[in-house]
Amino acid sequence: MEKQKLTKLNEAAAFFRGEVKLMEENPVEGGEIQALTFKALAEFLEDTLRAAEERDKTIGWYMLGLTPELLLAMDIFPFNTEMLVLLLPTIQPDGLKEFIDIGERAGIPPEVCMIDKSMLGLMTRDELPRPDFVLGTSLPCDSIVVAYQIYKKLLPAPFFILDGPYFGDERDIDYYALQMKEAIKFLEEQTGRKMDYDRLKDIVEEDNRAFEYILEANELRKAVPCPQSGRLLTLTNFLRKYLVGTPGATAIFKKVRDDAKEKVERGLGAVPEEANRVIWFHIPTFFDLSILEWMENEFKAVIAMDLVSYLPLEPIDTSTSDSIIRGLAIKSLNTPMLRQFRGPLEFYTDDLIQVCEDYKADSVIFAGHLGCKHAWGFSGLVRETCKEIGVPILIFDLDCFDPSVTPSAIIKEKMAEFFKTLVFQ
Amino acid sequence: MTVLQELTELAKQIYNPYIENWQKQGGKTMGYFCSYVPEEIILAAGMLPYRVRATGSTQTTLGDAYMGAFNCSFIRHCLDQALRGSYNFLDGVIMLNGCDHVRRLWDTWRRKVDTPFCYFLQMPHLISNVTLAWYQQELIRFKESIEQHFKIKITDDQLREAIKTCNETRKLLGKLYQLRKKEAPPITGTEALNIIIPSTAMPKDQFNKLLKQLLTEIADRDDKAQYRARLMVIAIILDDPSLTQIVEESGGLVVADFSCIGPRHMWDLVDEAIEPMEAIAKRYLEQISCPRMMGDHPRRSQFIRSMVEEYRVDGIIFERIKFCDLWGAENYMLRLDAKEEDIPTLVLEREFQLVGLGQFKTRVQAFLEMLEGKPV
Repeated sequence: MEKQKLTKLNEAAAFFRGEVKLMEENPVEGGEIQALTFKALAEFLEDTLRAAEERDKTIGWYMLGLTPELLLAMDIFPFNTEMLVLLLPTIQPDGLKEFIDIGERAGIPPEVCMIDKSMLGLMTRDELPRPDFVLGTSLPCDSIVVAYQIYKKLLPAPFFILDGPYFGDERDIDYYALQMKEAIKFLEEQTGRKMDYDRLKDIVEEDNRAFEYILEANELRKAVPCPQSGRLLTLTNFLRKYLVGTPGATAIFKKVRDDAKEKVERGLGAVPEEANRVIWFHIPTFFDLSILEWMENEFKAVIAMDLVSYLPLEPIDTSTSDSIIRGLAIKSLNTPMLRQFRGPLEFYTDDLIQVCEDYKADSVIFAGHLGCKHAWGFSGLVRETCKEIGVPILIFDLDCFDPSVTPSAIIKEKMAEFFKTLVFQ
Repeated sequence: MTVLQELTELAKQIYNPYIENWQKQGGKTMGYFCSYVPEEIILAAGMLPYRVRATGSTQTTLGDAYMGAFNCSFIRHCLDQALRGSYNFLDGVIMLNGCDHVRRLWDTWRRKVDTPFCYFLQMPHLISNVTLAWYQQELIRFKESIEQHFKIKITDDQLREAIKTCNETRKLLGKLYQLRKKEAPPITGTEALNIIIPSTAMPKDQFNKLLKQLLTEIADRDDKAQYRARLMVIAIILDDPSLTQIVEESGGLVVADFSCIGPRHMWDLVDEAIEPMEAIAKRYLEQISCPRMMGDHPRRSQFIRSMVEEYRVDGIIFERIKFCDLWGAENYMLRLDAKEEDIPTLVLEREFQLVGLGQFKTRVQAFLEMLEGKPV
């Protein structure tokens, strides 16, 4: 089989490696965690490139909302299907443009979520490590429901899809856990190996350790002033997605927790003279994360908590293989963003109300990614909810991965107007 | 008035004399969205199953207060109609996770529209033994919820009767569709829609009676013989024949369609030989699917290919309401398949309320000219 060039993966790995070198050569105060995160990401991307070239391990794609623990436990190299879609815009604002264009020229309508369009583009250009099989789910939205159908049409690999329940009671969790067990059977058939439940337990326990640190760090962000920046939330999110169950990730999360703890003890905030505690309850502006710093500098507005970092869960019970599988099902159903968007309105608004209370919110930002039709579908009710709890909300539309829809300058204009007129009344 | 004329009039109304009469006799009416809601259970409960439409809606001012501009205009129009009271005649409404837009409609409807019974049915996105078992349990919960709210009991015998009635509707509509295979079909695509739409908005036994009469009336009609091309329309919900009308006024003849309200709704029968709830679950899960069903695109594609062959279709028109991701992607995949089979296609994107008719006419004309010029 012809060797894959994987240009974009190479570029991403080189970018993070380059950033690490710069940070090591020019260390800044408080930059250690970012340097460690970038280093971990660079290593992960280099591992991915190696796996794609050597093919000494089975490569399994898995959807963002699924848990790679099952793959790791069976010595399968896990590749998060949507990874490049999230990473490329953070490296270069129009990093996805050529792939979105391919998707649109192929016939995907422009207003369909860019995940579908850009993935089609990436696959057309053979920019993703060829999978030996794919694990998907129907959650959280139509975009994913169709995305995995497109991938299945274009890829020769076998697929296993988990059907996500709409609600979240015990019966629904049992349903999803049952399908996880079916997924394990699928993996065993694909690899000719049996699930190593001891290894799975080790991986989950390692992830539990990381998780405890994240929970503590999230708890510490409730302090006034908020000890850490909004950007740190996004950074550590990448680690949480791609470096599950690794001691390296646990060590970084421990540093995050320690840093937050020290700052809270010293009364230090990410933003001197913090004036506004923002709850960003939608997807981040991946194409321009500097907006988060701009908010902090211009308006002393810090993101105390965001949608993709909020994790109101317990660590997984590892006492039996059944409890592990059930725990993974719960974890998957509660993947941030999936958790709030996959079900009824209350899955979003209950969390929003709780977060606003816990983090002493002064404002809410609903950066309405236009691919998220399900979020736009309840935007009016979210506005009403914020009115009921007395927290001002800014709602605007954009494509979180493509600056051509709503450029940074326009976003900043809207935010500036919001902060000036509503929040500081 | 002929039966066809009567049905055409009924298709234009949200609330019609049949519903009025039904309700005057104390009958209850249960609204629903989506072809995945089992009408049989509603019918067995002694209620009239009513497919919610946005017929006649001309604005979304009220709906837009709750949903965004990126949400399906059909759903926004339905919401707007509901908020204006057009659906106050419903005793209940059922929605499901058919698509992102419908599930969000449920969130607003249950809070802002005073419908006494508002139920959300979970529908799997996959066809498998695991999902079938779960879905059957979901349907039992649904049935029990109706029983509890309305203080009734739905028996297996009532379910069997309802299955027979709905199957009868499907068979009769199937006969109607068979007539469209003819070289000179006795009905146009517009007429077919005007026949199907009322089937979702009046007592089924009365519709079945009318349809039997209609099949006799049109048996020898052959005045549709003059047309430029035989076409298939693939769409989400064809509750509004306007675009089909434009196509046919331009000289095309729509001989087949694939939509939530067409063959997919009627093709597969419920098995009358097995336990009714099991039979209903099987039929609704395993029916010819819509793009929400993952892993089933090959079967949908094959179904469409066989329709193209059986109905001798010259070209396919994809009619899509903007912001529908499910059909946006499905159309992309179906067009790949159509290209393989050398079937010409045309994509028409629209909002629920048709604007820019001139543009549509021009594109349809060009498509028909292309089909006429295509070498045999």
